[in-house]
Amino acid sequence: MRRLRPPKPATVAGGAAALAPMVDMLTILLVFLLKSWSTDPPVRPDDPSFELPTSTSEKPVATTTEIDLTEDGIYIHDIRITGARYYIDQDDTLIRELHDVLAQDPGPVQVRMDEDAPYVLLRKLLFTAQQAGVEDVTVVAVSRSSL
Amino acid sequence: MLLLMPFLLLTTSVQKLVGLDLHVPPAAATLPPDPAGIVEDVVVEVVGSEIEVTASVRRTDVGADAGDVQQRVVELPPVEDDLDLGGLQATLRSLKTIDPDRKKVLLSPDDSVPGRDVVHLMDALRGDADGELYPEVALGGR
Repeated sequence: MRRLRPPKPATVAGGAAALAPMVDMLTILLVFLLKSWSTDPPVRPDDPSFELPTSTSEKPVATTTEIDLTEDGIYIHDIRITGARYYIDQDDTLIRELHDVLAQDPGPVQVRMDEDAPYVLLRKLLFTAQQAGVEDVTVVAVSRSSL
Repeated sequence: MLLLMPFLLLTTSVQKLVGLDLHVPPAAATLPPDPAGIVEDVVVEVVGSEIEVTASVRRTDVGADAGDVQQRVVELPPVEDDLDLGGLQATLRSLKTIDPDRKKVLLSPDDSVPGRDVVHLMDALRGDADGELYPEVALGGR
């Protein structure tokens, strides 16, 4: 007789109790992902030593002319314009090779500076941009809320 | 939710890029006049891990002549071999209390200061936990 009886259904109370924390966790994960979600492509993926500084700023970066500053060289849209060592060591304040390119299209630029690159490069880049007629410069950094 | 989460996980990038704006005035342009206030200028100089804040504050006591300016200099030595950003923000907060309308500050790092520290300084100058400090940061040279 015992074999003919249908099995008892699982208790609903236990399942609901296990589901509620899971929904809470998924909601927290969803909020975290929405907050940190970004489609920005990796910066200089072929240069493993390149690291952007971190910032607390929350202002997104617009698509403009990309200038990369590293201790090795200066790049525009990943194309090497000149070496950086000369401008780090010497007193020349104008980066001539960069000036020639920027003067052709003095629109807004974004500067992606390696976190270990010395400030002298940024200072000379700002002077060069000013001489080329560029008025809007954005220093790019990685948000602290990144994954 | 179950559809949105895989979509977010598959499409998200590990780096979220943000920007710090700098306005570069034209080469021949003259600087616009600062708003009238008690604090005439604020300069933050950085050498290595040492910070020096110099502020020109108009004297307002009874014995002062018109245009009398007092130079206030605060030196902030490094804390555990790093920049004392907390001390910098406390100094700037006291200046901001004197002249809340002032928004400009000049940051003058030494040529050897790494880019990481320049960005951290710019963040510290723009605001602290109590709110906005000096959102218009100009970069200069020593």
